[in-house]
Amino acid sequence: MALDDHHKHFAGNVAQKAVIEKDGKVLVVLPPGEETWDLPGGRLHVGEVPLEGLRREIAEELGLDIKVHEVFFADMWMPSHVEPDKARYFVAFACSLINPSASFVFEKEEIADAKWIGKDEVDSLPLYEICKNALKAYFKNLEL
Amino acid sequence: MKPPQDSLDFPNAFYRVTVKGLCVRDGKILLVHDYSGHSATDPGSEWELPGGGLEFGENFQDALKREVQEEMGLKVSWIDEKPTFVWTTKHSTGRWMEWYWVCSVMFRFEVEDLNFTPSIECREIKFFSKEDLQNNIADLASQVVPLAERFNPQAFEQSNRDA
Repeated sequence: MALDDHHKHFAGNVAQKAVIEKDGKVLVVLPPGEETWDLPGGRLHVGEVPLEGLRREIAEELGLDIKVHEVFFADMWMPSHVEPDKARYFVAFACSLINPSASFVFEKEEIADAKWIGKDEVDSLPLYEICKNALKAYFKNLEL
Repeated sequence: MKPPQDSLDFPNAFYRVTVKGLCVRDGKILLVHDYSGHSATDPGSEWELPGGGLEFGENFQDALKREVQEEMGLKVSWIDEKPTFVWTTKHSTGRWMEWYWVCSVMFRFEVEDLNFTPSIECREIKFFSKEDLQNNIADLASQVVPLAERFNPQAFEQSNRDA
């Protein structure tokens, strides 16, 4: 890839999201001061192995240890609350808890609340559109 | 001196994103021999997966179709809805101490036929078994090396997909 065309090619943050399943429900999180729920996860740091980066984020944000099963969703994300040129690439991994009875330890700067939602709640919850798409794909995969 | 990853003025979480296609036949994966690499035995070329950089606003499926058409002149007949593998690699710009990071997303795909048209990005195509990959590490593009180490092409042959 030639360097000169780097503004034409997509370059940006890689938002890695964990769809953590427990008893048929999945975990969503609410950042402080926000009204829109999100999937837990964060930006992949340069040089990080994707799965290690995801496990690090979830341990930091929620104090949870996860097992990552597989990647199942990837799309471009242009969040409306950031500038249009701050596009992100969004990737979601199917995960589960290593210890299902573990309790949350929130990192207060990033997470104000977290809850488990079922398939029926995806449509009605204020949740970023791309997260809804990822969760719909996730639940569809479970049916296959 | 600035750290190497800052050489393109990208912040520490910036990646180029590329889509890569995985086409499996008889437990072997399709690779493209291009003219632009730095392999040990043939400095002018390396074996690479089909695919390339995402353009702004382009989705993965459209980007893979475009790249397969541009590189090989082949028509994509099917692309999986969900990705198969995500991995990151460090690339040199070719200038001293200049690096950037690439995040690659792989999707399985099929082509209508294998009658490719040679281009600067493709002078030859070939299906590689896992053993072929491991025996030719020096001639593989850096993004392909993790596959040689971790992939089992047989498993992909067996995986389910919609017709």
